[in-house]
Amino acid sequence: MTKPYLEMSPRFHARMAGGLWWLCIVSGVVGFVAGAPLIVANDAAATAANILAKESLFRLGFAADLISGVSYVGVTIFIYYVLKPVSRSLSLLGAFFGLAGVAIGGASWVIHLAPLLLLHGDQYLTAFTTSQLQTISLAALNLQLQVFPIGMVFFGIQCLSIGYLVAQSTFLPRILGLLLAIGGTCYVIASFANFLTPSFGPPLVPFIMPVALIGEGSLGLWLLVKGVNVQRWNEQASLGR
Amino acid sequence: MHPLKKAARIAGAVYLSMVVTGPFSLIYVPSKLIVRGNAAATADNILAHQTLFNFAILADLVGPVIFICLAIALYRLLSGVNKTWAGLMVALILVSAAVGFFNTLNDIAALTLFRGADFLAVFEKPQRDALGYLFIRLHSQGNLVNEIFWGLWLFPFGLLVFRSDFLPRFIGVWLMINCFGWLVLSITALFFPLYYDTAFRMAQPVLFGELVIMLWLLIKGAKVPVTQTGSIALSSSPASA
Repeated sequence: MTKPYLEMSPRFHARMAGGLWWLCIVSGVVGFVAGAPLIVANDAAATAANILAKESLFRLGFAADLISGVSYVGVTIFIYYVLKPVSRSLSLLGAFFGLAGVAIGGASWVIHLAPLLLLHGDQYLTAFTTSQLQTISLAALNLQLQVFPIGMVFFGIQCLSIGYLVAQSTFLPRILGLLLAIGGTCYVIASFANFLTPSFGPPLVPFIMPVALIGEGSLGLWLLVKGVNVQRWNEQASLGR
Repeated sequence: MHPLKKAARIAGAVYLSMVVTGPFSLIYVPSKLIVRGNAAATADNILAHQTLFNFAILADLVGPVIFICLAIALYRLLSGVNKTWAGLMVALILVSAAVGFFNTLNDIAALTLFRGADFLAVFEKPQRDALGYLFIRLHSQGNLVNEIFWGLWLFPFGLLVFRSDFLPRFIGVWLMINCFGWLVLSITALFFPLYYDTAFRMAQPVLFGELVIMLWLLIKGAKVPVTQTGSIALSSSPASA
């Protein structure tokens, strides 16, 4: 017997997707703001000193990253159901790209914890000098930072497909889809710029991140506040069958 | 056999195989081979019992595959209750499986370092042991991160069990509490490591929820409804993701 539970409505899906999207953005920014200032480029000793002096900040950054990834799993699933009436297969494709992106993020979470294991002066690590341990720790952090743009390729393609579906939908404003598609493209371009021309990529980030954030943020906010036009959603859903 | 009952039995059997292989690599092998805080002794143990360690790596790789099969089996069983929550459950399992797969790399790295191929000759043996032990520790940290997902998927799972008309409600509630049990454990491990053992002991009754649902699915299967709604719910599930 199927009971008419609240969460079956497309509006609930939309609100959940929007709310979790904002949770993801906010925790992602918190993670960056908490963690990034601790890293001093090319100075392993200073970075290690920072991490040990502000260990709770470092752990907070880790936790925020984790929350960001977890909430994005929710975004991916709920947005899949919101956009299923437009094209089930394309919506599913986007969802799989999103999950792959989170899974790649999962690799970075594990590496993120390496500095804490290395810098606490555990007995078994005495085979290395302090400066060697600090260097390994910074290397781990640099490796972890490289994982982010890899995941971004997948998130970018997901945003592109979601953007296309939003633009094709009758129940959400087209402009939001366009903005998100532009944001997704920016992610992909920034990532490849980062890998192919390391000198050119990173300076691009301050210009590209706001564009991407506008795309994700505006759609997230709309989904959270306005939800979807349920009547049109139902119309498009019945057309597709 | 009624299709609903069959789906429940299959899910139970898959679950059983996971419950059997999980503790082997998670508890048994580490307790046999890892000497806490002693890299050299751990290296000696692992080199002396390489087959056992290899089997643990194998179990770590097989585990996520079974987990994905379990996701599909449970989706077949429960998607008729609510597609959204069933989809979320599958998504969380997929990410957890990916994190688990990646995490196996840490154990393989440890083994490579302990064995010490020619290219590692620039490091002294105590250094190789220390690095290898670091990867062993990273591996267990990776499991602690993954505990978050081992917990999270249980919430939609429990909710679906609770709302289904063919599985006992109290197990659904138990599973949802089980979710928070894992979350608390993971947070304790990552942020208050000193209290982990205490927390683990206290969480035991909560963590038995999974064992109970596994046995229930395997032994009792599902209560077949008098009307044919159960089979309708089931037959509609494989068609859509």
